[in-house]
Amino acid sequence: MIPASWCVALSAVLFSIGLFGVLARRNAVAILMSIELMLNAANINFVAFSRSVSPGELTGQIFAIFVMAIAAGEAAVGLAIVIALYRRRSNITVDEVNVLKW
Amino acid sequence: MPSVLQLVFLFFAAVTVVGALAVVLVRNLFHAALWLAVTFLSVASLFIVLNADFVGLSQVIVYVGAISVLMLFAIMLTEDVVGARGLSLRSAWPAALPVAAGVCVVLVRWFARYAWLPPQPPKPGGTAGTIGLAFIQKYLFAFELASVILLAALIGAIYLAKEERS
Repeated sequence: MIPASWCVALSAVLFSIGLFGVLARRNAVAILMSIELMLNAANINFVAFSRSVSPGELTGQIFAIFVMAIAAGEAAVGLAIVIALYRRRSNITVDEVNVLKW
Repeated sequence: MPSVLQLVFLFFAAVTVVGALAVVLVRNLFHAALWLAVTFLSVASLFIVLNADFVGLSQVIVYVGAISVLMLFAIMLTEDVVGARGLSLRSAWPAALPVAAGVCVVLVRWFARYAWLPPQPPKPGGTAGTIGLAFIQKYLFAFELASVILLAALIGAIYLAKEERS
């Protein structure tokens, strides 16, 4: 069996890589990709702890599936916002798109 | 001596970390989206190694099949894919490095203080039946709510991305 500490360590590393991407990337689509990495890190923890905390009921795995559904909605809305932004500004670099109203 | 399952886990964990690093660091956005698909696939393999076959297959369908393709379309619609222009990282990226590394170190050291419960062997027969029953019994309201949220998100996405006719 794979010990839970390995999953926790992997999830922490993956979350930190995603966090770096959110903070450091210039492109809005790349930031959305980094957010998906962070959500995946959370899902690894849900699935890992589902084995020890609720092996019969699989609560962690059910939560992971809810996270996936919300992530799909978030990706669709986020990318639609990016495309609408590109129509107006021809630019999706977050350094230069710094106004909420124009 | 690690078992075969543990070696498989370590292999896919390494692929996941390398893929995630490539997603964050590669200059060409199109390549970054392809690396994202690699990362999602190896995370799906990790789920299957961790006795979560249904979650792993949902990951393949939802993330690799839908979200990666959506990302590729968004990149092709908004960016000049062939000529990657300018820097891919913001000028302040050296400030983000200690933040991310610090979060990683704090998380790992904090979690290392606890002795986690040992994992139990899975029930025979896969997980799909248990999860499906839970969705129509215990989590019925949350399940329906998630579908309403998805519908609202997709209608909102269509409205936002629609061409404006003046």
